[in-house]
Amino acid sequence: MRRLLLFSLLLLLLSSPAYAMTTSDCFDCHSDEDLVKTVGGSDLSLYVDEEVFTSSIHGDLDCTDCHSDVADVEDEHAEELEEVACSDCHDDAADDLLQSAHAAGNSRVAQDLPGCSQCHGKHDILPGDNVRSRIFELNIPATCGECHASEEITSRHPNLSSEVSSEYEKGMHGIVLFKSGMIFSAVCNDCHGSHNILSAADERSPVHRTRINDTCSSCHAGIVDVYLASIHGKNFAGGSEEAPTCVSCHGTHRIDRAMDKEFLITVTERCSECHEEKSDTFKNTYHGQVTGLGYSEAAQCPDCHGAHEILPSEDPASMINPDNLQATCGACHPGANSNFVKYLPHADYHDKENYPGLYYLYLSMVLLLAGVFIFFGIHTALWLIRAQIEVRSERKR
Amino acid sequence: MTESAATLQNQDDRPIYYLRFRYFHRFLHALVIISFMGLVLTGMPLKYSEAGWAKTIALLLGGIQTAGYLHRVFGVITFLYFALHICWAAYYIMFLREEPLLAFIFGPNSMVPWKKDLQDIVDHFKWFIGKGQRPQFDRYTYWEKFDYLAVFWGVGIIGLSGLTLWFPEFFSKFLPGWTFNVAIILHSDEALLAAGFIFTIHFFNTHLRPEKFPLDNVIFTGRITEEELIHERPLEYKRLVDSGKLDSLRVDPPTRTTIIWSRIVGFAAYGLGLVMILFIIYSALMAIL
Repeated sequence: MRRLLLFSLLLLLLSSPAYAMTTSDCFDCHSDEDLVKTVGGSDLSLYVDEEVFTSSIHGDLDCTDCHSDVADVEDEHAEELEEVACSDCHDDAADDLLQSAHAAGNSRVAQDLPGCSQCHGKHDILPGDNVRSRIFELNIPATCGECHASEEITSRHPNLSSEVSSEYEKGMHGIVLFKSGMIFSAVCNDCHGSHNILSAADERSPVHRTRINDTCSSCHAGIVDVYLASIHGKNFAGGSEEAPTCVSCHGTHRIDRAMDKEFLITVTERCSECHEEKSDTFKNTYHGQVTGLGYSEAAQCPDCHGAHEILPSEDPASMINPDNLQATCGACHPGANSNFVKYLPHADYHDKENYPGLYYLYLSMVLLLAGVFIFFGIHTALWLIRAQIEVRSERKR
Repeated sequence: MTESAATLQNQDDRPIYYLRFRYFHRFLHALVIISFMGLVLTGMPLKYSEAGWAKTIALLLGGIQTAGYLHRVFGVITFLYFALHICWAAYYIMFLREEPLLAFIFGPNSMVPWKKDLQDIVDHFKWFIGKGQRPQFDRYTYWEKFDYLAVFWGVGIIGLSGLTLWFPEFFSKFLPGWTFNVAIILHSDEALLAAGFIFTIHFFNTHLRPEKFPLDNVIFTGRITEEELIHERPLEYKRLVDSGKLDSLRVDPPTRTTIIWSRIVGFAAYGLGLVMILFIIYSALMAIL
């Protein structure tokens, strides 16, 4: 009888329905901070901070909900576990990721491609509105920067630059975010998207040339309409490949404040990427010269032509339409009259066809200078030789 | 060294000095140096605004805005010395002149170029190439008259164009806007001519040629030695001897302090001029290459 009892007890133990591993079972081992396994010669920690996990967004789940291949294991599980499939629950995000530039197969360097955990973390995942979350607005630049600011990683991808992160920090979006703490400032994903992130060359990307204006206008309301009414905007809408978009003038990661001195004194360079000739003639004027020496209060391109509202001079609304010139010049030169606006702000005295008067004036100045220097140059050279001869013969005497 | 000078020096080791420029003229020349150097230093960066050295100078001057203010200050000094000179010239002609007006204007004490100056140019060139004697100069040589008249020309053209560029709103009340396009060409290229001329030709003619090297400080001390007067301006010396005025012009030798100051001012102006001319030549060459 007693034997029977022991036997049935043993039977009961052995035949009990599949033994399920509980979260506390896992922490029996994984709360050991020294728990490691050796992968390729280096130690990989297997420690999981229980407190961090339970306060994470997945804190109510069991370990086996994600590590499903451990669920049926009774005691020690296999050394290699299957990769956690976030897509079991987060199928939309996973689908987007598969379409994105981060998807496997999109890069020859597969090891660099991020999975869910690179951006979201593992046991410590927090909701996006938690200030400690890796995807909280303030933290996104650092999260993306783990790869995108890494010289080592970006050097393996010819179309990436490790400078985007530092450039972003120097630009207005970065300053507003980090220095002013305004979390509505644009961070990486606001322009690039998140799971569905694509190369700027891809037409579906929100930073593709055809879509970038809309992307900017999602925060910068109103001003895009002004741009669209301008010659630049009209050309853009007309499908011109050359028409500038927001980023052509403002830049991308480093967006400088357009009122800043640094922006104003270099704005000519930005305009000159398309309007090279006008930029050259500008540099030959007083406006251009003092600008070149760092005086931002002088007139630069936008002061006369406008910025978002640029229109050709034939347009009655253009700042450089003859009817509006007195007002435009008058903004800096109070009292600018009809005489005043006959100034030629892009005059080129090398251009004989368009500015014959100035051309011949300049030519006569050149001849005057050449004449004086040639005459006195010869005069001086001969005098020097003669004086040397005299001095020497005097010494001999 | 002429014979008479040698004897004079032998009597007493210390040379005899005569007054060549009065205080007023030395003061005006000092104003010319200060304003001219200031104008070149504060203005040339604009002409070569894309060059690195121009940006550095603008920075050292406290930014181009400060340079612009200083430029105008030096411009005002220029107008000031110009006006002072005109007043002096008028005063001299009215009250101090000793000859009849026409005789003065075309005489040796006037800066007006006349027949003798043309002859001097020809003779000077002949002497350069060993085909004649060195011309006998009077109180003002032809290159000195050129320097003097160049200031009139320069202040006229650069000064007036500068004024229009300083006050465009005012000048456009009666001048068309393209005047400023003309003004900037005139202002800029005349300035280049002036700076280039002063820093090479004037420096050489007056200071750097072997007889004067390294510095002719007559304009700073106002005094010329008898030896130099006889050698450089024999006609003037002869006139002064003949008219018996020479002795009235005799002065004490310049003091040590005056000489030290002339050297400081003179060499500072050289240094600055030389640096500027090198920058200009460098930029001109870069533009060609």
